[in-house]
Amino acid sequence: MSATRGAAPPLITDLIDEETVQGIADETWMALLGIDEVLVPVPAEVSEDAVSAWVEVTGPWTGAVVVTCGRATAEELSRTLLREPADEPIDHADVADALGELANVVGGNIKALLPAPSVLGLPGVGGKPPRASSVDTCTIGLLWRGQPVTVSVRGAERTGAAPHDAEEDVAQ
Amino acid sequence: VKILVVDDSRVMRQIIIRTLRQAGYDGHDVIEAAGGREALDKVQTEQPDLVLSDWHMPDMTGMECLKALRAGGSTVSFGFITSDISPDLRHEALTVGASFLIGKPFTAETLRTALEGQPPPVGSVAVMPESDGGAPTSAAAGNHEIAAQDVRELLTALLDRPVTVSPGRRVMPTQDDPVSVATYVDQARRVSALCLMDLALSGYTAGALALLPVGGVQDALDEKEFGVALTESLHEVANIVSSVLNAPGTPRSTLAKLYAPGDYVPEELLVSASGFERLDLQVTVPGYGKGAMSLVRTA
Repeated sequence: MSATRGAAPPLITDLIDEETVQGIADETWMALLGIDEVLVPVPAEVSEDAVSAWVEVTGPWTGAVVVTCGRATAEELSRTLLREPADEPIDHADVADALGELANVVGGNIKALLPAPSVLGLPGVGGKPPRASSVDTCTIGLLWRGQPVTVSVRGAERTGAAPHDAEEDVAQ
Repeated sequence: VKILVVDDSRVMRQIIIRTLRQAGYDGHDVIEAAGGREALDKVQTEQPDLVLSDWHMPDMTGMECLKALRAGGSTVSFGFITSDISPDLRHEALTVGASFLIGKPFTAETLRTALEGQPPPVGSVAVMPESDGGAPTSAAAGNHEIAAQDVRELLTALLDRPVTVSPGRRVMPTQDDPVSVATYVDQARRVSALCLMDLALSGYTAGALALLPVGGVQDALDEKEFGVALTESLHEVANIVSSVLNAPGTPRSTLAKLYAPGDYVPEELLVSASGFERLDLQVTVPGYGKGAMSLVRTA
């Protein structure tokens, strides 16, 4: 495959819009968490102890699909996915696993809409997602059970910056 | 029925198991594996009837696991449940011998529809909808389903003898086993279907149609020399086979080209032989012998 020298890679906003991302997130939440688990499109600031899960996409567009929420929200998401009672202590590995799977499912469906050939990575979880371009992003702010959740599709930094070191577990 | 659920995510394994229960599979024996390698071991030790596997896993991917199973002779039914649902992966999965591929997120209805076909009947493959939870929609939607019964009746009438068919292997060309490949095109001249027959069945159907002596046909097959007479007769067989691809009122597939056994077959044609819908048959032509046939709808 030949690339045109100097041709800029596409911006994510040329490829998908916020409504599409919202639709994928809605479908993922309802299918995995429960039919009543709606996401309300209201942007709100995620608290300081934010935790993120992401999957990277490599192809004509390269970047990551990142799901971010507060730590307490991540624990509640995990309990709901595992159908654990609200007062049950939850293992940190399960919290990382659950948030990672939500990012994986949202990311896989977004990847399906991007130009081929694209490759989907394995989920990563941590306090900080991979560094991103400041202009190549499509981010939606949502409320789940009144708590902020953001889903962000963000292009990789284009300056050849070193990759971010992912934390393996939200406990770290 | 014993079902092996393979996913490196414990959360996703729990979701799949819960959805299996919602889909009506609560009475079945469900076991788990956290990766491809563990799945390989458990197929050996636990002998499941069906494997439901993620694709991307760190130790061994679902595809590597499926390839290892098939290379080891396992015929266990295998379906993918994956968030990565590109057409390329679908093709690869079906080519290697997966029965279906379900996209995440999925519903109980999607899962039930996929599993109702297990073990896969007579080699036909349903390509599952990606996430809408609706009825199965193969890429061949709107096409006439290729039916083993139609093949049997067609060949019985054509060859004037009681041909029998049963589920068979996939026909793929190898150095030692040259095959015939008939290509069919739709009205827009796109390749819509393929009929692959191994050397034996190519010879037996062509020989029976032309009423050639079985000894002569067998000699030709032994020497892998498919002569002019057999090729001409095989062309007629391939032409008539197009009728099992067509249903009244649907766009017609017509024979475009026949590659006789031993002819060079373009690589891209064989890639498309993974197909969207397929029927793999063992066919017995009384008085001649038996061989393998694969009918593949490619679009």
